[in-house]
Amino acid sequence: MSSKQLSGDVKVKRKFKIDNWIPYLFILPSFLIIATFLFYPIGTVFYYSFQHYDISAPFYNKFAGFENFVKIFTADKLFFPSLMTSLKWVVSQVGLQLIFGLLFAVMLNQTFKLRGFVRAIAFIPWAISGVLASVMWSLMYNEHMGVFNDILMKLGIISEPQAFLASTSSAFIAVVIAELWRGIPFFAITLLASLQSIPEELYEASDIDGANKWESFIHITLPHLKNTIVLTTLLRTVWEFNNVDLIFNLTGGGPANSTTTLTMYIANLAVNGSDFGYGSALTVISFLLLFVFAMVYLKITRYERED
Amino acid sequence: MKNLLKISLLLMLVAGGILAGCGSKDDGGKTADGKTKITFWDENAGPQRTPIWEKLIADFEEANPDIDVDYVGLPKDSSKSKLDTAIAADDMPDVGSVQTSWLPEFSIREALLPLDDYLADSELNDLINEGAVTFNKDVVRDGKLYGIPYTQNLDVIWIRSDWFKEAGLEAPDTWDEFFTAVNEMTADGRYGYTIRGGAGGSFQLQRLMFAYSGLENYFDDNGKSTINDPKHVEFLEKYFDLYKKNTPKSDITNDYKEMIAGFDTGVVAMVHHNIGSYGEHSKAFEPDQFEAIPLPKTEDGRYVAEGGNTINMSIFKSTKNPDEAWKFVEFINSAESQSYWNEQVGQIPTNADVLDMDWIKDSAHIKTAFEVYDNPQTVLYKPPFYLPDYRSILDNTVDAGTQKVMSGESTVQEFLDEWAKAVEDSEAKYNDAMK
Repeated sequence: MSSKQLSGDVKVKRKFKIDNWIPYLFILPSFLIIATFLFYPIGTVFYYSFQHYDISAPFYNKFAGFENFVKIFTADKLFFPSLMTSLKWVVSQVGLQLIFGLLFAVMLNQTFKLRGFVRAIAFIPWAISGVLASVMWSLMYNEHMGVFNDILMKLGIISEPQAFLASTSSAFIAVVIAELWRGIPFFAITLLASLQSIPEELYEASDIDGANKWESFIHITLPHLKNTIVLTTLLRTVWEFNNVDLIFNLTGGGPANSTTTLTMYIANLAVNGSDFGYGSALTVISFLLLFVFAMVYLKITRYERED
Repeated sequence: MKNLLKISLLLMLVAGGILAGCGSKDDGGKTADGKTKITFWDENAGPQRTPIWEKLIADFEEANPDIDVDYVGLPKDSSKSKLDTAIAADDMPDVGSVQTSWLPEFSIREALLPLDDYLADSELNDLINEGAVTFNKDVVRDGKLYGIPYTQNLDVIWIRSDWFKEAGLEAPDTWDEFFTAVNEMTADGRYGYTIRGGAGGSFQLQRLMFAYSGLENYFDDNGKSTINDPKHVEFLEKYFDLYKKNTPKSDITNDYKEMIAGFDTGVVAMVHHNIGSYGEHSKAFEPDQFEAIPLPKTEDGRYVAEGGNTINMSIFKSTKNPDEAWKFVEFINSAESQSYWNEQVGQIPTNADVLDMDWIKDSAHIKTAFEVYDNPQTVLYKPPFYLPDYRSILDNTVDAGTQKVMSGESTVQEFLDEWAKAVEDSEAKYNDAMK
């Protein structure tokens, strides 16, 4: 081997290496942004969960070890009730939104006059901000001037005005209905998009084979929608679990904590209590819960796997 | 080599761009045209108070052409947490409107500038209400003055005087008369009273309890809280008994807005708030339709009010222009500014020169407040503002506890025991840390 050849080899090698780095350089800015605004804050939440950290009382701040976590599971009177409320909230929201969303999607997939217009109308609730929606709903539920009381009184269903958001037995249902109204369009939009991708031939073929509407829904429509359903329900579960805007504005978690979900509880702790150490520990727990849920859910639904 | 150069150039560009984004210029609080800039944070911004501040700031800038005041309005509900964060991040304003209950905590965190010397050298020295200034010193650990009170408030009961007249009833003076009046006023689709069961209700509940019991201290000598004193239990049992019988059902989630709306739309006859809501009522009613009365007297005939019901002008320690900041504090506390601010809001000025002005003599609700504050027998009880979680106990434990009692899920005794335990634990933890 001559020395010239050798140096040429080295040169090729080095050039090869630099070219390899170029793409990373291009993604570096976005990586830095994600790292700064996502990984770093998430990391600090884990860090603070092992600290006593209260910005309004720096003289209490110190390393806590597992004290925050021990307190959550042994001394916190609100943790398990709020976790149960979260569970009720997520199951009722995701379940009902899926059922009604699917119903709407199938309806909007039919051909009828003014279909485009009706589709646009059906998606409006999704486009309304959470705060605005909660103001609307709190006015409609109002004891003295709410439209629900007016209608129910006129129909003779109730004899005197009710304060729907003010009773521990009805507040949760009232908030569920309001959020349901806002969440259905999400399922309707995504399922409708998915419905439109099902080839018409399949329905024709099943028609020739003598299948009725219900059978073709079960054997053609649902299997085609499976991946969309799995993904949307997973996304929605995470969102609803973390959702506070409507609850915060309609009831603030009350009355008597009957609408306090885990996320609402954490928000209250951070906003009113400025107890970030304990709040972080609760956040870590809810992060782990959602993480495990997502893993298990994707596994048992065999997401993206053909059976 | 060429490639290496390219890479390093690119890297420098990226890094430079990011650093430029993060960088901040330290201009020593000067604007481009050489004026001194000071930032002022208002702790209760909104359609009512923001325009008042804007007018006063414009007046100040006209009188001091070399100072530029930057107004930042914080909504009432989140102003405390915004200030907390600003202090933790060492990114504080120069001047702030600070509630008296925040002074102990802010002073321990060394966020504020002591103003004793500034006040001693100022014309304001003998003019600002001495009781309020002394309270501000008493409430902090080191006994220094960290805020100049520019307004004073007092809890009152707003009543529909026209309805009382129609029914031939006198405005209640004692608690027995109060409960009777609530009952009498409940008729014809109207409610006699409205309870604040939602956000902020705990603060009002506490003031009512002490007004009934006449107790002066929050803790007894053994560190036991007076919150679950039998007198307080007795009062709350009567008080919550009014719920649904004499009040709207939705009271359990009532916050300020809804409670005031109930009164101003003619649904309820009496509401407990403070003289600061005068502006709202005067928009809804003619002057002879409503009036403010003091919270009823104790059994032995004394008024009880919560101490420290003032708001202060404070200077934050990180300011680069303390003298300009003090000029602004002084300006806001001048007779003219205080008079304007307090007349607009409907509260009590602390500057003695304002007290002789005509609008004070002509406004009935301010007179009512003076009646209470000037009465030598009036008791001012001191809440434990120094406890770091004083506020979160009220917001979280007490507000939720109130709703549990109102919905029948717990008894008054259980509720007050829980509240008392929370403050006792907090007191013990605080004493431990301060040893």
